Amino acid sequence: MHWRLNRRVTIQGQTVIGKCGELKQTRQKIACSMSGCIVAGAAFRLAGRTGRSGRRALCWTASRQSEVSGGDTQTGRPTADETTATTATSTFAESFKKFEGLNQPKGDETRRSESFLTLLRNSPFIKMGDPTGKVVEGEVFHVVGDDLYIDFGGKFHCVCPRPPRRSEEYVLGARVRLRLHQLELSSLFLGAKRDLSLLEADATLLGIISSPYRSKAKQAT
Amino acid sequence: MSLYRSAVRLLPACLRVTSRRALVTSSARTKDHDLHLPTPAGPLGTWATLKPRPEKYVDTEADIDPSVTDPLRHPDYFGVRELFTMSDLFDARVHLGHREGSLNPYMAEFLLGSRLGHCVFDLERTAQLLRDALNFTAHIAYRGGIIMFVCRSPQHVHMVERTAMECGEFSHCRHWPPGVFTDSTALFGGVTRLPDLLVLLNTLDTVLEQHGAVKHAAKMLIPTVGVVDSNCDPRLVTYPVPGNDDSTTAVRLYCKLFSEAIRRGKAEREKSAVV
Repeated sequence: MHWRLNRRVTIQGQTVIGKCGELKQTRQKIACSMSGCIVAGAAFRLAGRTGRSGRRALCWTASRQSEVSGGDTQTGRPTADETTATTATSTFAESFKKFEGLNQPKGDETRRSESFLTLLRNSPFIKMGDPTGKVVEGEVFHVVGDDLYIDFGGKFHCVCPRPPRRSEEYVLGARVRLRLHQLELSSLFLGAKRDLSLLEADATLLGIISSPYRSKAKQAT
Repeated sequence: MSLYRSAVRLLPACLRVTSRRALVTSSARTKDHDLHLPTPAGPLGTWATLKPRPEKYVDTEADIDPSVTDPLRHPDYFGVRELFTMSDLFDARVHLGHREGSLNPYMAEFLLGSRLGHCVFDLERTAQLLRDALNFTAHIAYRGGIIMFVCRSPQHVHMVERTAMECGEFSHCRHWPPGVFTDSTALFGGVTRLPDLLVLLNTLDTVLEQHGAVKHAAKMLIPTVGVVDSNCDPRLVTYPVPGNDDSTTAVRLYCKLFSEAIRRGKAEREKSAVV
Protein backbone atom coordinates (compact mmCIF):
# COMPACT_ATOMS: atom_id res chain seq x y z
CA MET A 1 0.00 0.00 0.00
CA HIS A 2 1.35 3.36 -0.84
CA TRP A 3 0.28 6.58 0.61
CA ARG A 4 1.81 10.00 0.30
CA LEU A 5 3.52 11.81 3.12
CA ASN A 6 2.21 15.31 3.50
CA ARG A 7 4.71 17.64 5.00
CA ARG A 8 2.35 19.27 7.50
CA VAL A 9 2.13 17.92 11.01
CA THR A 10 -0.21 19.57 13.51
CA ILE A 11 -0.25 18.71 17.15
CA GLN A 12 -3.53 18.98 19.07
CA GLY A 13 -3.46 17.93 22.66
CA GLN A 14 -2.06 14.45 23.03
CA THR A 15 -2.80 13.24 19.57
CA VAL A 16 -0.50 13.93 16.73
CA ILE A 17 -2.31 13.93 13.46
CA GLY A 18 -0.34 13.76 10.30
CA LYS A 19 -0.83 12.65 6.80
CA CYS A 20 0.73 9.33 6.05
CA GLY A 21 3.21 8.86 3.32
CA GLU A 22 5.02 6.41 1.25
CA LEU A 23 6.37 3.72 3.52
CA LYS A 24 8.79 1.43 1.86
CA GLN A 25 9.07 -0.72 4.99
CA THR A 26 6.67 -1.33 7.87
CA ARG A 27 9.17 -0.12 10.50
CA GLN A 28 10.55 3.14 9.28
CA LYS A 29 11.49 6.53 10.64
CA ILE A 30 8.97 9.01 9.38
CA ALA A 31 10.73 12.33 9.05
CA CYS A 32 8.32 15.19 9.42
CA SER A 33 10.03 18.01 7.64
CA MET A 34 8.00 20.77 9.35
CA SER A 35 8.41 19.72 12.93
CA GLY A 36 11.79 18.11 12.59
CA CYS A 37 10.81 15.26 14.85
CA ILE A 38 11.84 11.75 14.08
CA VAL A 39 9.45 9.10 15.20
CA ALA A 40 10.06 5.41 15.05
CA GLY A 41 7.23 4.02 13.03
CA ALA A 42 5.47 1.01 14.41
CA ALA A 43 3.76 -1.47 12.23
CA PHE A 44 0.45 0.22 11.88
CA ARG A 45 -2.43 -0.65 9.79
CA LEU A 46 -4.55 1.87 8.09
CA ALA A 47 -8.24 1.74 8.69
CA GLY A 48 -10.12 1.92 5.47
CA ARG A 49 -8.94 1.99 1.93
CA THR A 50 -6.67 4.47 0.38
CA GLY A 51 -8.23 6.46 -2.32
CA ARG A 52 -6.78 7.28 -5.68
CA SER A 53 -5.19 10.39 -4.25
CA GLY A 54 -3.36 8.14 -1.83
CA ARG A 55 -3.91 10.33 1.20
CA ARG A 56 -5.23 9.01 4.49
CA ALA A 57 -5.16 10.49 7.97
CA LEU A 58 -2.88 8.61 10.31
CA CYS A 59 -3.24 8.91 14.08
CA TRP A 60 -0.97 7.68 16.77
CA THR A 61 -0.87 8.61 20.40
CA ALA A 62 2.00 9.31 22.73
CA SER A 63 0.97 6.31 24.81
CA ARG A 64 1.35 4.02 21.85
CA GLN A 65 4.81 5.46 21.39
CA SER A 66 5.74 4.34 24.88
CA GLU A 67 4.43 0.86 24.10
CA VAL A 68 6.77 0.77 21.18
CA SER A 69 9.72 1.92 23.24
CA GLY A 70 8.98 -0.43 26.12
CA GLY A 71 8.49 -3.43 23.87
CA ASP A 72 11.92 -4.90 24.31
CA THR A 73 12.46 -4.48 28.06
CA GLN A 74 11.83 -8.17 28.78
CA THR A 75 15.11 -9.15 27.24
CA GLY A 76 16.96 -6.85 29.64
CA ARG A 77 19.33 -5.34 27.23
CA PRO A 78 18.67 -2.26 25.18
CA THR A 79 18.01 -3.12 21.61
CA ALA A 80 18.66 -0.92 18.67
CA ASP A 81 14.95 -0.34 18.37
CA GLU A 82 14.68 0.77 21.99
CA THR A 83 17.55 3.25 21.79
CA THR A 84 16.19 4.69 18.62
CA ALA A 85 12.74 4.78 20.20
CA THR A 86 13.96 6.60 23.34
CA THR A 87 15.92 9.14 21.33
CA ALA A 88 12.94 9.43 19.07
CA THR A 89 10.63 10.04 22.07
CA SER A 90 12.88 12.75 23.47
CA THR A 91 13.04 14.44 20.11
CA PHE A 92 9.29 14.03 19.81
CA ALA A 93 8.84 15.58 23.25
CA GLU A 94 10.96 18.52 22.24
CA SER A 95 8.94 19.03 19.11
CA PHE A 96 5.71 18.63 21.04
CA LYS A 97 6.75 21.40 23.41
CA LYS A 98 7.56 23.61 20.49
CA PHE A 99 4.03 23.36 19.14
CA GLU A 100 2.24 23.27 22.49
CA GLY A 101 1.21 26.89 22.41
CA LEU A 102 -0.20 26.68 18.91
CA ASN A 103 -3.83 26.78 19.93
CA GLN A 104 -3.34 29.43 22.59
CA PRO A 105 -3.95 33.06 21.62
CA LYS A 106 -0.85 35.05 20.80
CA GLY A 107 0.47 37.41 23.44
CA ASP A 108 0.74 41.14 22.98
CA GLU A 109 4.50 40.99 22.55
CA THR A 110 4.39 38.85 19.41
CA ARG A 111 1.56 40.95 17.99
CA ARG A 112 3.41 44.19 18.56
CA SER A 113 6.55 43.01 16.82
CA GLU A 114 4.76 41.88 13.67
CA SER A 115 5.19 43.94 10.54
CA PHE A 116 2.32 45.55 8.70
CA LEU A 117 2.60 43.09 5.82
CA THR A 118 2.31 40.13 8.19
CA LEU A 119 -0.69 41.66 9.95
CA LEU A 120 -2.34 42.38 6.62
CA ARG A 121 -1.64 38.94 5.18
CA ASN A 122 -3.22 37.25 8.19
CA SER A 123 -6.15 39.64 8.45
CA PRO A 124 -9.77 38.63 7.75
CA PHE A 125 -9.91 41.39 5.12
CA ILE A 126 -7.43 39.53 2.91
CA LYS A 127 -8.49 36.02 3.87
CA MET A 128 -12.11 36.82 3.07
CA GLY A 129 -11.42 37.44 -0.61
CA ASP A 130 -14.46 38.68 -2.48
CA PRO A 131 -16.80 40.20 0.11
CA THR A 132 -19.94 39.42 -1.90
CA GLY A 133 -21.93 36.72 -0.17
CA LYS A 134 -19.67 36.37 2.85
CA VAL A 135 -21.33 35.95 6.24
CA VAL A 136 -19.84 38.12 8.98
CA GLU A 137 -20.59 39.06 12.55
CA GLY A 138 -21.35 42.63 13.50
CA GLU A 139 -22.39 44.75 16.44
CA VAL A 140 -25.19 47.30 16.58
CA PHE A 141 -23.56 50.55 17.67
CA HIS A 142 -26.37 53.02 16.92
CA VAL A 143 -30.11 52.86 16.55
CA VAL A 144 -32.33 55.45 14.88
CA GLY A 145 -35.94 54.35 14.97
CA ASP A 146 -36.08 51.12 13.03
CA ASP A 147 -32.65 51.59 11.42
CA LEU A 148 -29.79 49.62 12.92
CA TYR A 149 -26.23 50.88 12.33
CA ILE A 150 -24.02 47.80 12.40
CA ASP A 151 -20.23 47.70 12.54
CA PHE A 152 -18.71 44.46 11.23
CA GLY A 153 -15.05 45.42 11.21
CA GLY A 154 -14.78 46.97 7.76
CA LYS A 155 -14.03 50.54 6.83
CA PHE A 156 -17.71 51.44 6.83
CA HIS A 157 -20.73 50.38 8.83
CA CYS A 158 -23.94 49.15 7.29
CA VAL A 159 -27.50 50.22 7.95
CA CYS A 160 -30.20 47.55 8.10
CA PRO A 161 -33.88 47.81 8.97
CA ARG A 162 -34.99 46.08 12.12
CA PRO A 163 -36.59 42.75 11.17
CA PRO A 164 -40.15 42.02 12.32
CA ARG A 165 -39.15 38.73 13.93
CA ARG A 166 -37.59 39.04 17.45
CA SER A 167 -37.50 42.79 16.92
CA GLU A 168 -37.19 43.60 20.63
CA GLU A 169 -33.76 41.89 20.74
CA TYR A 170 -32.18 44.21 18.19
CA VAL A 171 -30.92 46.82 20.61
CA LEU A 172 -27.66 48.71 21.13
CA GLY A 173 -24.87 46.22 21.68
CA ALA A 174 -26.55 43.26 20.03
CA ARG A 175 -24.29 40.97 18.02
CA VAL A 176 -25.83 40.04 14.69
CA ARG A 177 -25.03 37.99 11.64
CA LEU A 178 -24.84 39.68 8.25
CA ARG A 179 -24.42 38.68 4.66
CA LEU A 180 -22.14 41.18 2.92
CA HIS A 181 -22.82 42.49 -0.53
CA GLN A 182 -20.39 45.40 -0.80
CA LEU A 183 -17.81 46.86 1.55
CA GLU A 184 -18.46 50.35 0.21
CA LEU A 185 -21.47 51.65 -1.73
CA SER A 186 -19.73 53.71 -4.36
CA SER A 187 -20.14 53.87 -8.10
CA LEU A 188 -19.39 56.09 -11.04
CA PHE A 189 -22.24 58.20 -12.27
CA LEU A 190 -22.65 59.46 -15.79
CA GLY A 191 -20.65 62.58 -16.43
CA ALA A 192 -18.60 62.30 -13.23
CA LYS A 193 -14.82 61.98 -13.15
CA ARG A 194 -14.69 59.93 -9.97
CA ASP A 195 -16.88 57.56 -8.02
CA LEU A 196 -19.47 58.93 -5.68
CA SER A 197 -19.49 57.17 -2.32
CA LEU A 198 -22.34 56.80 0.13
CA LEU A 199 -19.83 56.12 2.95
CA GLU A 200 -21.72 52.97 3.90
CA ALA A 201 -21.44 49.25 3.35
CA ASP A 202 -24.20 47.05 1.99
CA ALA A 203 -25.28 43.98 3.92
CA THR A 204 -28.39 41.95 4.70
CA LEU A 205 -29.30 41.10 8.27
CA LEU A 206 -29.53 37.33 8.74
CA GLY A 207 -30.18 36.94 12.42
CA ILE A 208 -29.12 37.58 15.94
CA ILE A 209 -26.16 35.95 17.69
CA SER A 210 -26.48 37.46 21.14
CA SER A 211 -28.39 40.37 22.57
CA PRO A 212 -28.24 42.31 25.83
CA TYR A 213 -32.03 42.07 25.85
CA ARG A 214 -31.83 38.27 26.29
CA SER A 215 -29.27 38.43 29.09
CA LYS A 216 -31.32 41.10 30.87
CA ALA A 217 -34.44 38.95 30.55
CA LYS A 218 -32.49 36.01 32.03
CA GLN A 219 -31.27 38.16 34.91
CA ALA A 220 -34.81 39.32 35.60
CA THR A 221 -36.10 35.72 35.83
CA MET B 1 11.10 84.00 17.09
CA SER B 2 11.57 80.25 17.29
CA LEU B 3 8.02 79.67 16.08
CA TYR B 4 8.81 81.74 13.01
CA ARG B 5 11.98 79.75 12.53
CA SER B 6 10.12 76.47 12.64
CA ALA B 7 7.50 77.83 10.23
CA VAL B 8 10.20 78.83 7.79
CA ARG B 9 11.94 75.48 8.00
CA LEU B 10 8.83 73.41 7.69
CA LEU B 11 7.05 75.11 4.85
CA PRO B 12 3.47 74.48 3.80
CA ALA B 13 3.30 72.09 0.89
CA CYS B 14 2.05 74.79 -1.50
CA LEU B 15 5.42 76.48 -1.24
CA ARG B 16 7.51 73.43 -0.58
CA VAL B 17 8.03 72.05 -4.05
CA THR B 18 9.51 75.19 -5.57
CA SER B 19 11.25 76.73 -2.61
CA ARG B 20 12.77 73.62 -1.09
CA ARG B 21 15.29 73.66 -3.87
CA ALA B 22 16.07 77.29 -3.08
CA LEU B 23 16.29 76.60 0.64
CA VAL B 24 18.36 73.45 0.59
CA THR B 25 21.34 74.21 -1.57
CA SER B 26 24.46 72.20 -1.99
CA SER B 27 26.40 74.68 0.12
CA ALA B 28 27.62 73.79 3.58
CA ARG B 29 25.40 76.49 5.11
CA THR B 30 22.31 74.35 5.59
CA LYS B 31 22.14 70.62 5.47
CA ASP B 32 19.11 68.35 5.58
CA HIS B 33 19.99 66.85 8.94
CA ASP B 34 20.26 70.35 10.41
CA LEU B 35 16.77 71.19 9.31
CA HIS B 36 15.25 67.88 10.43
CA LEU B 37 12.95 67.97 7.45
CA PRO B 38 10.21 65.39 7.60
CA THR B 39 9.68 62.52 5.22
CA PRO B 40 9.07 63.88 1.75
CA ALA B 41 5.41 63.62 0.99
CA GLY B 42 5.08 65.62 -2.16
CA PRO B 43 3.22 64.71 -5.32
CA LEU B 44 4.33 61.93 -7.63
CA GLY B 45 7.84 62.18 -8.90
CA THR B 46 8.98 65.00 -6.62
CA TRP B 47 11.36 62.89 -4.55
CA ALA B 48 13.53 60.29 -6.13
CA THR B 49 14.41 58.38 -2.97
CA LEU B 50 13.43 58.50 0.65
CA LYS B 51 16.29 59.91 2.67
CA PRO B 52 17.56 57.79 5.57
CA ARG B 53 16.06 59.04 8.80
CA PRO B 54 18.56 59.90 11.52
CA GLU B 55 17.75 57.96 14.66
CA LYS B 56 20.02 59.95 16.87
CA TYR B 57 21.40 63.35 16.13
CA VAL B 58 25.15 63.54 16.73
CA ASP B 59 26.99 66.84 16.49
CA THR B 60 30.68 66.02 16.69
CA GLU B 61 31.72 69.68 17.12
CA ALA B 62 29.55 70.49 20.12
CA ASP B 63 30.80 70.11 23.69
CA ILE B 64 27.46 68.85 24.84
CA ASP B 65 24.80 67.22 22.71
CA PRO B 66 22.71 70.11 21.33
CA SER B 67 19.60 67.94 21.39
CA VAL B 68 19.78 68.19 25.17
CA THR B 69 19.69 71.98 25.14
CA ASP B 70 17.64 72.70 22.02
CA PRO B 71 14.42 70.71 21.55
CA LEU B 72 14.22 71.73 17.89
CA ARG B 73 17.45 69.94 17.09
CA HIS B 74 16.28 66.67 18.61
CA PRO B 75 14.76 64.20 16.15
CA ASP B 76 12.04 63.15 18.62
CA TYR B 77 12.13 65.37 21.69
CA PHE B 78 8.68 64.39 22.97
CA GLY B 79 9.04 60.67 22.28
CA VAL B 80 6.05 60.51 19.95
CA ARG B 81 7.28 57.29 18.36
CA GLU B 82 6.31 55.37 21.50
CA LEU B 83 2.72 56.66 21.37
CA PHE B 84 1.59 53.99 18.94
CA THR B 85 2.62 50.70 17.35
CA MET B 86 1.88 49.11 14.01
CA SER B 87 -0.74 46.86 15.62
CA ASP B 88 -2.53 49.91 17.05
CA LEU B 89 -2.78 51.41 13.57
CA PHE B 90 -3.86 48.11 12.09
CA ASP B 91 -6.52 47.37 14.72
CA ALA B 92 -7.92 50.87 14.24
CA ARG B 93 -8.35 50.06 10.50
CA VAL B 94 -6.12 52.95 9.42
CA HIS B 95 -4.94 50.96 6.40
CA LEU B 96 -8.38 50.76 4.73
CA GLY B 97 -9.00 53.17 1.91
CA HIS B 98 -11.87 53.86 -0.46
CA ARG B 99 -12.42 52.16 -3.77
CA GLU B 100 -10.11 52.55 -6.74
CA GLY B 101 -12.75 54.54 -8.60
CA SER B 102 -12.49 57.44 -6.14
CA LEU B 103 -8.71 57.34 -5.83
CA ASN B 104 -6.98 60.69 -6.11
CA PRO B 105 -3.86 60.23 -8.28
CA TYR B 106 -1.73 62.16 -5.78
CA MET B 107 -2.55 59.57 -3.11
CA ALA B 108 -1.30 56.66 -5.20
CA GLU B 109 2.21 56.90 -3.78
CA PHE B 110 0.93 56.26 -0.25
CA LEU B 111 -0.92 53.07 -1.15
CA LEU B 112 0.44 49.57 -0.73
CA GLY B 113 -1.98 48.53 -3.44
CA SER B 114 -5.58 47.58 -3.79
CA ARG B 115 -7.37 44.42 -2.77
CA LEU B 116 -10.23 43.57 -5.11
CA GLY B 117 -10.78 47.25 -5.84
CA HIS B 118 -10.37 48.49 -2.26
CA CYS B 119 -7.29 50.63 -1.64
CA VAL B 120 -4.90 49.67 1.15
CA PHE B 121 -2.46 52.18 2.62
CA ASP B 122 1.17 51.39 3.27
CA LEU B 123 1.20 51.67 7.03
CA GLU B 124 4.99 51.76 7.21
CA ARG B 125 4.86 55.06 5.33
CA THR B 126 1.83 56.24 7.30
CA ALA B 127 3.59 55.51 10.58
CA GLN B 128 6.57 57.65 9.56
CA LEU B 129 4.38 60.55 8.47
CA LEU B 130 2.21 60.24 11.56
CA ARG B 131 5.29 60.47 13.77
CA ASP B 132 6.34 63.63 11.94
CA ALA B 133 2.88 65.12 12.37
CA LEU B 134 2.73 64.26 16.08
CA ASN B 135 6.22 65.63 16.63
CA PHE B 136 5.29 68.89 14.93
CA THR B 137 2.05 69.16 16.91
CA ALA B 138 3.93 68.63 20.17
CA HIS B 139 6.46 71.30 19.24
CA ILE B 140 3.72 73.80 18.42
CA ALA B 141 2.06 73.07 21.76
CA TYR B 142 5.46 73.42 23.48
CA ARG B 143 5.84 76.90 21.98
CA GLY B 144 2.40 77.93 23.19
CA GLY B 145 0.73 77.82 19.81
CA ILE B 146 -3.01 77.67 19.23
CA ILE B 147 -4.12 74.39 17.71
CA MET B 148 -7.45 74.00 16.00
CA PHE B 149 -9.13 70.69 15.22
CA VAL B 150 -11.31 70.41 12.15
CA CYS B 151 -13.61 67.51 11.35
CA ARG B 152 -16.59 67.32 9.01
CA SER B 153 -17.70 63.75 9.56
CA PRO B 154 -21.04 64.04 11.38
CA GLN B 155 -20.60 60.92 13.52
CA HIS B 156 -17.22 62.13 14.84
CA VAL B 157 -17.88 65.82 15.40
CA HIS B 158 -18.77 65.38 19.05
CA MET B 159 -15.72 63.19 19.75
CA VAL B 160 -13.35 65.69 18.14
CA GLU B 161 -14.87 68.70 19.90
CA ARG B 162 -14.59 66.90 23.24
CA THR B 163 -10.94 65.97 22.49
CA ALA B 164 -10.11 69.60 21.73
CA MET B 165 -11.79 70.78 24.90
CA GLU B 166 -10.01 68.19 27.05
CA CYS B 167 -6.56 69.14 25.84
CA GLY B 168 -7.32 72.83 26.16
CA GLU B 169 -7.30 73.62 22.46
CA PHE B 170 -9.83 74.71 19.88
CA SER B 171 -12.03 73.13 17.25
CA HIS B 172 -14.27 74.14 14.38
CA CYS B 173 -16.31 71.21 13.15
CA ARG B 174 -19.24 73.03 11.59
CA HIS B 175 -19.77 74.82 8.29
CA TRP B 176 -16.69 76.75 7.26
CA PRO B 177 -17.57 80.34 6.24
CA PRO B 178 -15.38 81.68 3.41
CA GLY B 179 -13.62 84.51 5.26
CA VAL B 180 -12.69 82.85 8.55
CA PHE B 181 -8.94 83.17 7.97
CA THR B 182 -8.65 85.46 4.98
CA ASP B 183 -11.10 88.09 6.23
CA SER B 184 -11.00 87.45 9.96
CA THR B 185 -10.88 91.13 11.01
CA ALA B 186 -14.14 91.88 9.25
CA LEU B 187 -15.81 88.61 10.28
CA PHE B 188 -14.94 88.83 13.96
CA GLY B 189 -15.06 92.60 14.25
CA GLY B 190 -11.46 93.09 15.33
CA VAL B 191 -7.87 91.94 14.93
CA THR B 192 -7.93 88.21 15.53
CA ARG B 193 -5.14 85.84 16.39
CA LEU B 194 -5.37 82.93 13.99
CA PRO B 195 -4.44 79.37 14.96
CA ASP B 196 -0.80 78.33 14.67
CA LEU B 197 -1.68 74.80 13.60
CA LEU B 198 -4.70 73.18 12.02
CA VAL B 199 -5.31 69.49 12.70
CA LEU B 200 -7.70 68.20 10.05
CA LEU B 201 -9.29 64.85 10.69
CA ASN B 202 -11.21 65.20 7.42
CA THR B 203 -9.72 67.14 4.54
CA LEU B 204 -12.98 66.78 2.62
CA ASP B 205 -16.05 68.85 3.41
CA THR B 206 -18.50 66.73 1.47
CA VAL B 207 -17.48 63.67 -0.51
CA LEU B 208 -16.87 65.86 -3.55
CA GLU B 209 -15.30 69.06 -2.21
CA GLN B 210 -12.16 69.75 -0.30
CA HIS B 211 -12.52 71.60 3.00
CA GLY B 212 -12.03 75.36 2.65
CA ALA B 213 -9.69 75.40 5.64
CA VAL B 214 -6.98 73.54 3.70
CA LYS B 215 -6.70 76.25 1.06
CA HIS B 216 -7.15 79.16 3.46
CA ALA B 217 -4.57 77.89 5.92
CA ALA B 218 -2.09 77.53 3.07
CA LYS B 219 -2.87 81.11 1.99
CA MET B 220 -2.27 82.42 5.51
CA LEU B 221 0.90 80.32 5.97
CA ILE B 222 -0.69 78.32 8.77
CA PRO B 223 0.77 74.80 8.81
CA THR B 224 -1.72 71.96 8.62
CA VAL B 225 -1.67 68.38 9.80
CA GLY B 226 -4.27 66.40 7.88
CA VAL B 227 -5.50 62.84 7.70
CA VAL B 228 -5.81 62.23 3.98
CA ASP B 229 -7.86 59.32 2.74
CA SER B 230 -7.48 57.81 -0.73
CA ASN B 231 -10.03 60.23 -2.20
CA CYS B 232 -8.35 63.37 -0.77
CA ASP B 233 -5.82 65.77 -2.27
CA PRO B 234 -2.68 65.84 -0.09
CA ARG B 235 -0.86 68.61 -1.96
CA LEU B 236 -1.85 71.57 0.19
CA VAL B 237 -1.50 69.78 3.52
CA THR B 238 1.82 70.43 5.27
CA TYR B 239 1.95 67.14 7.17
CA PRO B 240 -0.35 64.69 5.42
CA VAL B 241 -1.07 61.48 7.27
CA PRO B 242 -2.37 59.01 4.71
CA GLY B 243 -4.97 56.84 6.36
CA ASN B 244 -8.59 56.04 6.97
CA ASP B 245 -10.67 59.02 8.04
CA ASP B 246 -14.08 57.34 7.96
CA SER B 247 -13.96 54.59 10.58
CA THR B 248 -14.74 55.57 14.16
CA THR B 249 -11.87 53.43 15.50
CA ALA B 250 -9.40 55.33 13.34
CA VAL B 251 -10.70 58.77 14.32
CA ARG B 252 -10.67 57.75 17.97
CA LEU B 253 -7.02 56.74 17.62
CA TYR B 254 -6.07 60.02 15.94
CA CYS B 255 -7.85 62.02 18.64
CA LYS B 256 -6.04 60.07 21.33
CA LEU B 257 -2.61 60.46 19.67
CA PHE B 258 -2.92 64.17 18.91
CA SER B 259 -4.25 65.02 22.33
CA GLU B 260 -1.40 63.05 23.94
CA ALA B 261 1.18 64.86 21.77
CA ILE B 262 -0.33 68.22 22.75
CA ARG B 263 -0.32 67.24 26.41
CA ARG B 264 3.35 66.27 26.25
CA GLY B 265 4.25 69.53 24.58
CA LYS B 266 2.37 71.55 27.17
CA ALA B 267 3.82 69.58 30.07
CA GLU B 268 7.33 70.23 28.77
CA ARG B 269 6.50 73.92 28.40
CA GLU B 270 5.35 74.13 31.99
CA LYS B 271 8.42 72.25 33.18
CA SER B 272 10.80 74.59 31.32
CA ALA B 273 8.84 77.64 32.49
CA VAL B 274 9.12 76.52 36.10
CA VAL B 275 12.84 75.92 35.67
